[in-house]
Amino acid sequence: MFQTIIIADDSATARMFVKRCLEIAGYDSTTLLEACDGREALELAGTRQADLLITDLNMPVMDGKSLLKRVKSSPKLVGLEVLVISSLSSPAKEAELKELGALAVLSKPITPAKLMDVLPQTIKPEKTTWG
Amino acid sequence: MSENVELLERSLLRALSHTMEEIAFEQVEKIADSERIDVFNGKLLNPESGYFTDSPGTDSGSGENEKFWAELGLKAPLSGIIVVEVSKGYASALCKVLYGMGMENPHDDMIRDSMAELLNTIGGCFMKELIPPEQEYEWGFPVTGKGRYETLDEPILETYCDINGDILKMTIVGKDISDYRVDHPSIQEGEL
Repeated sequence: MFQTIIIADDSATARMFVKRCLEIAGYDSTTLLEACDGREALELAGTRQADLLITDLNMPVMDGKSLLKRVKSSPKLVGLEVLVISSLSSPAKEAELKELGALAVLSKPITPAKLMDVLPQTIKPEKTTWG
Repeated sequence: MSENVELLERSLLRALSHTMEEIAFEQVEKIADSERIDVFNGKLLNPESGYFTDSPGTDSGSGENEKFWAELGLKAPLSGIIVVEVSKGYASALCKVLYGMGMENPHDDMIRDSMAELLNTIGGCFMKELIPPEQEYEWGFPVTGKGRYETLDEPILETYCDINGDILKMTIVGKDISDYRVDHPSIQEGEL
């Protein structure tokens, strides 16, 4: 399960909506960080120990595809998974982004169920007793 | 309305319906009640003159000065504009749903951002209906505003929908879109 997630989208509404979906999907105790474009997300990724980056594609300054390329080519960010959520995704675009290293590509509108399908199970294992 | 524009409308309504169901759990129904539409557009029938006159601030904030709109410019493979327009009351309610807010009133910037995100999502669904899966598409960033939406070009389509008693208007502008051959199987066979 991811401990720190960066959400990159130029829309505050979209960032808030993804946060709410993540919380409903079980990521309610995860640290959620926000970035309003690719450059800001990259700076956050470089300074915080994030393990998942959720990004939109159509953003000013640095778009999601450029961000994905930068993350996947950076030796410092080897463990950082990238999930793309966008209105601009098509099967052709999805294949291209997965080729570049995206964990998954989801189309808007996003729902908690869609997130749960692609993110690791968030249900905590039952407590076991030893001896 | 030409057959092709009818198919465009069907596609747009399917995109709107899917978006509203997923993000706000709301049903969308196309409306044809001209009186409601006139009220939404800030017009009221003057019983004495028999003419429609401008009437801002009617029907729970649906007057022309109490509306929010968002516009999205399509670039490729077809160019044009799609617009969504709602009353301030509905825009505010939608914003609260998207932000998960309580009773406090969102400020205009939040409402405009919500409108942009709504149109972005509708736009994506609309393009998926129109464009073959192997083809990519491109658009700009949404522009939002408050008040009456105005365009220099004649719209090729204006359609009105009922969402739990509120009216949402969608407009398509651009000859390129009206000329676009709509032959995606899901549109030909689908029904709203």
